[in-house]
Amino acid sequence: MKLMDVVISTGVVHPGTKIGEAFRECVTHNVGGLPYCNANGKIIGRFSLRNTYKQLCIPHDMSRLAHLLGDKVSCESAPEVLNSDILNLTVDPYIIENVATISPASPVIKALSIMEKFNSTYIFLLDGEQYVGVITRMAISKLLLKYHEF
Amino acid sequence: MMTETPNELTAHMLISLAVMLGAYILIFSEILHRTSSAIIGAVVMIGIGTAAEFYTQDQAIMAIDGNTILLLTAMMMVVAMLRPTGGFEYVAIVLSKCSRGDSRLLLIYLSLAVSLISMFLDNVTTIIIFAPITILIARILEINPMPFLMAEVMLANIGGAATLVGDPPNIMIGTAGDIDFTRFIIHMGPTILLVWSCTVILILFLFRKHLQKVEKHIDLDETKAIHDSGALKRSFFSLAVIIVLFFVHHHLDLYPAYVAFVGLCIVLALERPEPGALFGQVNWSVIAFFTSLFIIVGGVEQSGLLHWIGLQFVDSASDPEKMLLTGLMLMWCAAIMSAIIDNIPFTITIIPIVLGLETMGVNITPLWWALAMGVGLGGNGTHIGATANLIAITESERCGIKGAVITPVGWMKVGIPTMFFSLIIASIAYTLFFPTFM
Repeated sequence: MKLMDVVISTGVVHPGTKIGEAFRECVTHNVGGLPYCNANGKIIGRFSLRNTYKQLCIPHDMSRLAHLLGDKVSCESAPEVLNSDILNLTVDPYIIENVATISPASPVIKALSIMEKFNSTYIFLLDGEQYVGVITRMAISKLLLKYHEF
Repeated sequence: MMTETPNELTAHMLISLAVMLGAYILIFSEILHRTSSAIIGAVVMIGIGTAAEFYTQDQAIMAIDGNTILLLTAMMMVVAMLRPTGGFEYVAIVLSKCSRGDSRLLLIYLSLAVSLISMFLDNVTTIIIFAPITILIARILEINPMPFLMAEVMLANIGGAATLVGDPPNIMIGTAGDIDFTRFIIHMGPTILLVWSCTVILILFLFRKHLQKVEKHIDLDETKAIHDSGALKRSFFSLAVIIVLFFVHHHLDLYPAYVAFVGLCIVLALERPEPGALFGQVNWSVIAFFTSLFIIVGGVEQSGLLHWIGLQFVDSASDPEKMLLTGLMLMWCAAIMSAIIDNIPFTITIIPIVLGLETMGVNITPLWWALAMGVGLGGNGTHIGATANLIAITESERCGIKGAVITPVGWMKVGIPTMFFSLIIASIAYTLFFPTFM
């Protein structure tokens, strides 16, 4: 099994890209994050669905004590998840600087190990400086099932 | 080596003073983390002290207050076992539901719980646990959490002053003054109870505009707070053993640190925790900070400087008629210094001076109580007065609720009046009942 067999080609986000556009790209390709590239096309960070929700919608106290929340809980003072305004915000303040990457020649186990280390569900595949696509656990699992005809 | 102390300033005294001031400036400037600064200061003090022949490595090790360090370490480990049980969150939710939407009652209930817990456990840990649940409750009730956070911290700081183990300076004072747990709580408890009650009224008045009755249901499930009821019972059993032993440790001739380790052994045997979960929760930075400060002040003490400072106060301190005034001055000086800098370095520095007075025939017992009240109440004055204050500020900043952020100026607007008010109450009690503090 090679990483090129499981890579998912996606677009990238740039400075000024709206969160709604980034969400659509993630949803279309079923990935949890996208590379954040500068004007020269160099990856300088990553857009993450999880981090964006965390920064925009989920207060620290709520996530820490989530197990205590009742089903009727509502928080007018918390930023609203369903507020469409957030889709028109730009991605820039919510970009994570550390980026986990891997090359096409690397084994699958290395990709899984790096995802584990970064506590991430995806990793970016780079051929030299060139962005190829996203490797996800889901894609690896899908190919594993197909490979072994399970 | 220091065998006798001259009555005039010597080169050794000035050298040790320079090293200590340099270390303290480095600590308070926050150029480096305060623990890093203290470690550097300790190493420099030993190095220069050895070279100048007023301090040795053996004396530096002897200067470390083992009872304080080991007691703090053991209690941190016990708290590490208690914290994940969810018992504190359970209490907070039940109390918030008992308040039935009355913000004033909510503030009193939560502050009372935090204060009682802070009498036996570290304030910082208590606030780390209570601040997020307080913010969540306020968020659900759609009220500003800021008054609740500030009240909890300030009243926890006051509550912690009541017991030997409630605040690190008290442990140091208790060890230095050979004061046991029961004697400490008997002398400090009534005064602190009075100060606490009056401060609650003051805080309710200062935050009166924020404390309205709200018609909202607190949709939090307290039954989900307890992760493992067995672990909760076992951890609280060990804490109960510790508290009971604290009350009788002097009869059994046990150090408070040993008592804490007895309780720790019980919880270790019953819970069998993973080493990472246990030792990872100990705040080694605080332990190293205290250890380093003891070494720094040990060097100053060996140089004879602290004895020399004591000589300057011996006349007023040895006069029984001026004893009350000396105690009050110490209390207010300790409070103001604790508010401006930090009560730990101040306490560690002042203790040898007070002990030095004893060698000059002064009855220093009233001074210990004055010092304990001063350092305990002074931490409320500014946001940097106590570490727990900073925890509340950090939580207020990250909650994202409009108007909830506690700024340094915002803290002082409430903290300074609260500090002076509580000091006035404590001073009145100290003056009226001075013979009981003798």
